Amino acid sequence: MITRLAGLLVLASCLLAGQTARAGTLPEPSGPVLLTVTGAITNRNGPDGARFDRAMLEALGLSELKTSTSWTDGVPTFRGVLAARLLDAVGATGKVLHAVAANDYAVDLDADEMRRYPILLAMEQDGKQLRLRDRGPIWVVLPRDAYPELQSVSQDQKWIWQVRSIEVR
Amino acid sequence: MIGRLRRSATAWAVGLFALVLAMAGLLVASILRYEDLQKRMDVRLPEASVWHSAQVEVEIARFLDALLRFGSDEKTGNADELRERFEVLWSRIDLYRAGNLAVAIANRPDYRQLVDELQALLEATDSILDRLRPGDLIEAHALHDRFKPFLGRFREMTLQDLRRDMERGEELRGLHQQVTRHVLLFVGLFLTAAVLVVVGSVRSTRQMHRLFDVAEAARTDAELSRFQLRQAVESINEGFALYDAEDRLILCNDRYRALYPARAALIRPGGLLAEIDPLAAQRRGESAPTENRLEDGRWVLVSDRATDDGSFVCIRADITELKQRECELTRTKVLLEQQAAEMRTLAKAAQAASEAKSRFLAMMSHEIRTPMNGVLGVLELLADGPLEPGQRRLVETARSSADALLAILNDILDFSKIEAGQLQLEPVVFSPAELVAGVADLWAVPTRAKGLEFRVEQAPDVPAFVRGDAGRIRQMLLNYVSNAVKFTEAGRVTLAVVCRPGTGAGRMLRFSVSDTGMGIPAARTADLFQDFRQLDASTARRYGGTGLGLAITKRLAEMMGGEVGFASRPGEGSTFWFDLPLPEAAAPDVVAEPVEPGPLVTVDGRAPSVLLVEDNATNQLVARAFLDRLGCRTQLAGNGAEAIDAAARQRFDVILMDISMPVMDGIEATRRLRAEGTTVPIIALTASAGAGDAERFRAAGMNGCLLKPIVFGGLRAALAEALTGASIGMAAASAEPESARPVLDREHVDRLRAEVGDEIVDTLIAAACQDLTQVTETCRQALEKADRPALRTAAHALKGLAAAIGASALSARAAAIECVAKDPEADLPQAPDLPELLAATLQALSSATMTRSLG
Repeated sequence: MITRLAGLLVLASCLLAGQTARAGTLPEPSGPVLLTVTGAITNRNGPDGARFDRAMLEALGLSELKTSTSWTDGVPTFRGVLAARLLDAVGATGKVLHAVAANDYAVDLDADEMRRYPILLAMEQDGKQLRLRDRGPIWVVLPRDAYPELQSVSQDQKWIWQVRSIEVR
Repeated sequence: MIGRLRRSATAWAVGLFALVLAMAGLLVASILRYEDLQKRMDVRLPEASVWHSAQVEVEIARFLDALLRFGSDEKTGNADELRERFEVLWSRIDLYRAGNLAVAIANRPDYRQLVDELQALLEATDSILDRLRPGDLIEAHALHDRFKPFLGRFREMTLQDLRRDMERGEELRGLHQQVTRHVLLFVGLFLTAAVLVVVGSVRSTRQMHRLFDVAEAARTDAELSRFQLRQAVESINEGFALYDAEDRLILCNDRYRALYPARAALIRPGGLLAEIDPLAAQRRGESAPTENRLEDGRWVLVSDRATDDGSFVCIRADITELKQRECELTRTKVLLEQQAAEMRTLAKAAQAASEAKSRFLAMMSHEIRTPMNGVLGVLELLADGPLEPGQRRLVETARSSADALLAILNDILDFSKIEAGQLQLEPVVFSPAELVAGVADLWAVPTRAKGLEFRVEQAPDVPAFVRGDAGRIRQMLLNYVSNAVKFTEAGRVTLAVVCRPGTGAGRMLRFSVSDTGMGIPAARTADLFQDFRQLDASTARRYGGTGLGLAITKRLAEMMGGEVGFASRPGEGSTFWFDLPLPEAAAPDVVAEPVEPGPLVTVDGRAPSVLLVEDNATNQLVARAFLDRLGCRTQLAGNGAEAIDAAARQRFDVILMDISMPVMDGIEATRRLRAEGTTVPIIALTASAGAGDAERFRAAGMNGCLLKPIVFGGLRAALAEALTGASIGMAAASAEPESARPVLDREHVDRLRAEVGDEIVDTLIAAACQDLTQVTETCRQALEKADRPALRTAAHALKGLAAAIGASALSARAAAIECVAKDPEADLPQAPDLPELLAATLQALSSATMTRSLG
């Protein structure tokens, strides 16, 4: 019974998300814009593309990910939006995500990979909001402890922090 | 071959092992190198730190740019932008506080120092930035001046790291090259190893092939050997099988199989001995060959043997045919034995017949001689009496015929003795000269009477004494001489003895008799010396004789190891000779009376006529046998009265007179004969020659005395003396102690045998047994009746009888009884031992006969 209820809820949320996506419209951000998604996307809320404030991102649904990193001691718990969810939210159609950070660092991420793994756009670490000085407000965190193929050195470049914008190409 | 291969394979394996060891060492070294490289590669922090320090420199520059712009223009000064730059710079420095970067600078104090100083500055600046007003250039410059040195210092760090990075790159390249070299070396070694393995396996394959070849050759050899073995096993004539130590059949041949057709199915390799041949299984361990009869009746010779390794070899020879032959042989043998037995029986019968014939012949001669003596006696009486001339001629013819007949009988007797093998030579030492002289003496008168000259020639080298049977030699010579005289009408007869050339034992004496007679026709020479041959019937009629004389001479010469021969020229004369190997002998110590066992002759050359007066049959036999041998014509008289009658009818040359006789004893008879004027020599025969006896005999008119038992030599000597007219000695009695007398004097018996021959002795013994029993019984009865005269007579008879046959003990006992019986005063002895003694004597006599017949 509980399983069926959960199933219904998941179905409902999916339908809801689908409806949102289909509508092709995103709400206007009310707070400071944390992230701008441009390029090959179907859903926008401005001429440049889709802009997200913290509330909008939180509204996409938050997930937790516990993993070690090359830049932290111990095993922190991250909280944020799954990349796949964001891509769904903007109706991304491109294969490459060109992410750019506040310090002008840029990297190309593979959209399929973003969808295949539970990669997180982290906004909190160990219950605290990531500030700019803490590599926030958005930090792409890969579940490298759970997936050994994500542990190689070359994967470290994908951990882009202080993300400002993503261009779907 | 295999050894070489093995050595080669070993060397190869050692090489490969060394190579693998080298490879393993190299691999370990490479892995260590690689791990080292990996570790160094892992430390990419310097590289990252170059990036980071460069980024820090960039962010400082951006912050300072924003700071100066904020301080120079109070209107356009954007506090958010400045803060953002500050925050980004902060986040950069923050990276050094945790994670990999913190580890990277942990052991770089200058770097840490730099980061710590910047950190401290950032913390100090954090609050200053909140208070900073746009356009406050002085404050901005002040801050700018504090941050600006960090630009240079971080650039310095970046350059330092770049240099370090380059150095590390060099090092890594070196490591990499090393690893590469190792890998190349490893690959090289691996390839070498692989080549080695390939070569090795090729080689080992080849060696394997060679081994296979060797094995194949060995197998072929083994098969050939096995084939040859099988062929050999098949080719042998016997059944052959080999079992292993567990008694399982290894191999066998067809012959073996054929022996057990009933168990053919079991006879295959692996078959069990106990099932195939249970008998052999039981006998395992015995190696002596045995003969077994198989179920189908065939015979096999089984010789099984266990070998050293415990195997069991069975050899079966089919001996059925052999067995059959053996059976046949056995049958044949039995048959042959039967035949042989039959032959023996036949031979025995033939021999017995021959012996019987010889005995008959001897006996007949013997029996004929007695009436012949009678005839001769009568003829002699007739000749002595008054006769008309015609009658006298007739009587003379009858006499010569009878003489001839007697000679024939003697010849036949001798010949049959030789034939029967009963004639024994009696070698003595004698003088050839005397022998020849004796023969010449005998024939001198008759030869001269015929008008012939008789000559004796003796070579000077003839030995004085030789050893030989003088009597027989004399007989041989007499034969020759009598022939020579007989066949020579005029001229002379020469008797010669010479030495034939020769040395030692081969030395021969040649006795020859030559005459000037008619000689032997050449055509008839071959017949001479043959048995029963005479030149022709006319000669036989004219001269008489059996023709046995020469044959007997020849036989005797051959018996003595010599030979006979003759030379003749018809019309001129002949020479007959015999050569004898007579060894020279030393002269006898006592020149005894020459032994002359040959026949006696009277002074006028006749055979002597003897009257034997003896009542006892045994004594008669003995005396007659001796007399016959001496060539005497013997007439018998049973007592003194008969002797007187006989002497009245005939003239005898000698009378042998027993003393003790029924009707008329010897003394009385002699007295009467002498009283009648008879001059014939009378010799007493007595068993008891007491001291007074000799005188008594002489007084009665006897010429001599012979002690009983009569011995041949004594008889001959006495007769010879009587015939030549010499006085005859009275033998003294020799009384031996009674106790020393044996039951039977075997020597006496043997002597008798030698003197008269076994046959006569056996007959004698048989007769004696009867007589002894009879006389002993008479003696016993006389004792019982206490009849002294009868006892005396009986004892006397017994004494003589026993003595004659050699029964010494019985004789002595009888003498003792006689002695007592003579004395009227003496008590008559009880003689319970007489029968016992008789029995012992009879037994001894019987055994003496037995011994002879067995011998």
